[in-house]
Amino acid sequence: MRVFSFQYTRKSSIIHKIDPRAKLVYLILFTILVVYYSNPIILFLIFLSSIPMVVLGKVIDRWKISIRSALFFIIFIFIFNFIGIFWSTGSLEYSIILSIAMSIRFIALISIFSAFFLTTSPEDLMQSMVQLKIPYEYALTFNMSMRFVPTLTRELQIIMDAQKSRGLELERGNILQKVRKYIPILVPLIINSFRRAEMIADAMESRAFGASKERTSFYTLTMGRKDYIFIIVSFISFFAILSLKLFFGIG
Amino acid sequence: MFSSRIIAVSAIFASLTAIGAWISIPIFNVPFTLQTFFVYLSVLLLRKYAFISQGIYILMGLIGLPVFAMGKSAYAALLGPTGGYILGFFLGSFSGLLKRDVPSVFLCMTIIFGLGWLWLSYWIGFHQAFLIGVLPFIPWDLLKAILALTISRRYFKSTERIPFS
Repeated sequence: MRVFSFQYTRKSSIIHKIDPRAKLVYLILFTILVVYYSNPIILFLIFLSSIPMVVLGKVIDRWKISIRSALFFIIFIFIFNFIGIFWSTGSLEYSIILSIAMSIRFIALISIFSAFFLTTSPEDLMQSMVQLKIPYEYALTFNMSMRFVPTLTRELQIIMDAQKSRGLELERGNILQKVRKYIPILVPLIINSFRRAEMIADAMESRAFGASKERTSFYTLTMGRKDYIFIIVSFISFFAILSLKLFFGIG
Repeated sequence: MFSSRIIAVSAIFASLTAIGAWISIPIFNVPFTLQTFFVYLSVLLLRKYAFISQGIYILMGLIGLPVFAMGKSAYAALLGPTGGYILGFFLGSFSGLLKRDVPSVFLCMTIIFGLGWLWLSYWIGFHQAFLIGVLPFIPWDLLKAILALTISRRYFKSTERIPFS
């Protein structure tokens, strides 16, 4: 077992400064396109269209990681689609084209989603959620759990070391024995987590959480000119790609 | 408006589900993670608030934190062939609305596997999806469900439990 490092790196760029709500419009429009089309060339074009956002957003490194970790799935999708379609239709050409389309569709989806989420800071996302009238409690819970993951990971590591030092051997034994060996790790982990939750709830209440009905925020997001331009550009490219099918019959 | 206790406990469960992805027990070279165990436990303990913790878990993955199994990037895990299971965590956690323990866990399990199966079959076909994505995991998940039921019983008996309101 290994415990992953857990860090969120903050960056700043033109794309980061665009309002998350405007980027959400882009995300929805392009997801519709990806699901709608099954022509590999058009899907590849949609994939390419997300690259400028990634480059301008300076998140190319993390975007590459997303794409690389998807490669295994792409091979998997390609092989299974190919077998499945070839089995049912018997046409080699058709099944190759459709399997390629399926693989590109997947990678295009990943690229679009990374373009949105990698260029949006968690704080902005939360603020836009609150401004979209999603109750503040959800945003708070989200921020809290982001903070908890590293803490609980460390705690898990400590518990595992403690139990190992008491002679717990995780790798030995048959299936049932292996599963049972996780109980002395899980029970302290859960109990500790609940104690922590109780402490935090007390801390929140002692700071008068929920005392007033109306919340105000120090920092609010406003839609500026660049946000509207971004939305308009997204819509124009959406209809441009859609017209390929509607007027030219491609796709 | 929920109480501060519910916020704290759902936050804890969202991160426990993330951590559950990293605790994997290798059996026959297939890494079985403890994620669904924490989903079941959240259904049993949080009841009608369980969906908050699971929704936040998915959101954490979406903003790019490595909270899914095998440290995969969120987009590959969520949009890829295995994404149905993760969406199933969220939809399945609504089964906490049922009053009784055992039915809610089994409903949750059915939703997770049903959605996972459907989603996987979109990518690789119906029969293959069942053989790869459902069948090998059922016995192991039954074990986890039983484990979650035992732990939740013990928790509700203990004096140290958090009073939800």
